[in-house]
Amino acid sequence: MKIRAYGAILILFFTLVCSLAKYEGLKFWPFMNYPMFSHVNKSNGMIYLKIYSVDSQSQEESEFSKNEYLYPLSYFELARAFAVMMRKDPYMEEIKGVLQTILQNYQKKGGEGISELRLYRLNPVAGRLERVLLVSTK
Amino acid sequence: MKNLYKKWDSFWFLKGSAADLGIGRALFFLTVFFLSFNKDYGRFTFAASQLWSPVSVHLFLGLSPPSFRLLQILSIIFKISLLLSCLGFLTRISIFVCTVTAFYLFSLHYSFYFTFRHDGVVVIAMMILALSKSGDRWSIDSLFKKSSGDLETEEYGWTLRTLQVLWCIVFFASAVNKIHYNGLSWGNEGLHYALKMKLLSVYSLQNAFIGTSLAQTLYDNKFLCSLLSYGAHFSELLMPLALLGKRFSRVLVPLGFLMLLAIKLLFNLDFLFYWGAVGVFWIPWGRLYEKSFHGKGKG
Repeated sequence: MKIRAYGAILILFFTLVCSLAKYEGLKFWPFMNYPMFSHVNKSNGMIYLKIYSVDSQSQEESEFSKNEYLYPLSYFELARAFAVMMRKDPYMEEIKGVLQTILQNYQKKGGEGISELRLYRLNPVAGRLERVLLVSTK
Repeated sequence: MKNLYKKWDSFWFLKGSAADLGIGRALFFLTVFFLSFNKDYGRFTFAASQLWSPVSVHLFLGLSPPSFRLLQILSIIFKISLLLSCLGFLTRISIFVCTVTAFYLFSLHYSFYFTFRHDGVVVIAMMILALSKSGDRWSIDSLFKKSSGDLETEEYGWTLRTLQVLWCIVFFASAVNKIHYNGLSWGNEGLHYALKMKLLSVYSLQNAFIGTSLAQTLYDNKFLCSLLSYGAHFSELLMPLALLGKRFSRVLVPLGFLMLLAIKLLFNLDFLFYWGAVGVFWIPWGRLYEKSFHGKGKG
């Protein structure tokens, strides 16, 4: 009995050490820390990232946020992934590759009329959001 | 020294009820089963290859992104083993299979830049349950076994204790992280800022949920936000006291559940179900059952 119990205590020890470490990565999953809303005034940029599609005929841009087009990730998951990828240097090619796969998946599903996807960062400037183009599939 | 060892021993190896552990096990796996039932684990094979950022275990084992077929098979094995673990059929084997498959399937999400941290604790709880004898009561296995008669022993006690410690670690670690980043001043604007970010995301993505208006009302009242922030932070910080006796656990554990419920309502995040599933091991199910159905308690 005690061997099993000490095995469990050892697991708890790892959990405790990893959970108290000031380390944001998830490499040691499931042993990790739990920031739980710890970051105040430190935006991860997630909500300011938006994907727009370009109409192949009119060249007009419109928001491309429906989850069914972004499968297998949701918009929320994808935005978080982009936010983390942008901490890498360089990140352009990787994000471009992701956008191209999304566009291909969209077209494979019979989606039409879109020639390009663009990722924008929305910067809040003087009470409004200013768009800055980060990556495009073209 | 002897005294210290005695204290250590009485902390981990106090007597625990087989019924508390058995019912807790059933509820824990039932919750995880319902959370996983509709999940499409095979979906990750359709993700762009650039999103593959494996966690350590994948790197260590040299695992590449899995095939759709493999994930479908693992997903079925996982869901069946969850159900068997809940029912307590071949309990230890079922929990072991469940732990291994959950470890792999849940980790996939994190290998695609997923950054939420709600389900890792469930896998750790499964590891502990795989080492325990949680199928001695309230299980199909127990129907085929002769009752040992002794249903309140250290064997069940250490399992309940370790799972309770796990619950406390998660809350305490969360409080410590807030101090790491903000000192003790997190309460000043911690919740207010989190609500601001959530509401910005809700309005820009137009994905309102049932608690959006409540979140907006609370956001508009900065004083109340601050009060609740400090309350939550200190409750998290004090959570380990729940291990010192019922006087503390009767207050702090419900507060923990209340916080998880608030996170669900205000942020639409599922910590309530994953962390709450680990919290079921605090509840004296056996005594509650006896009181409810046989009108007696154990003193």
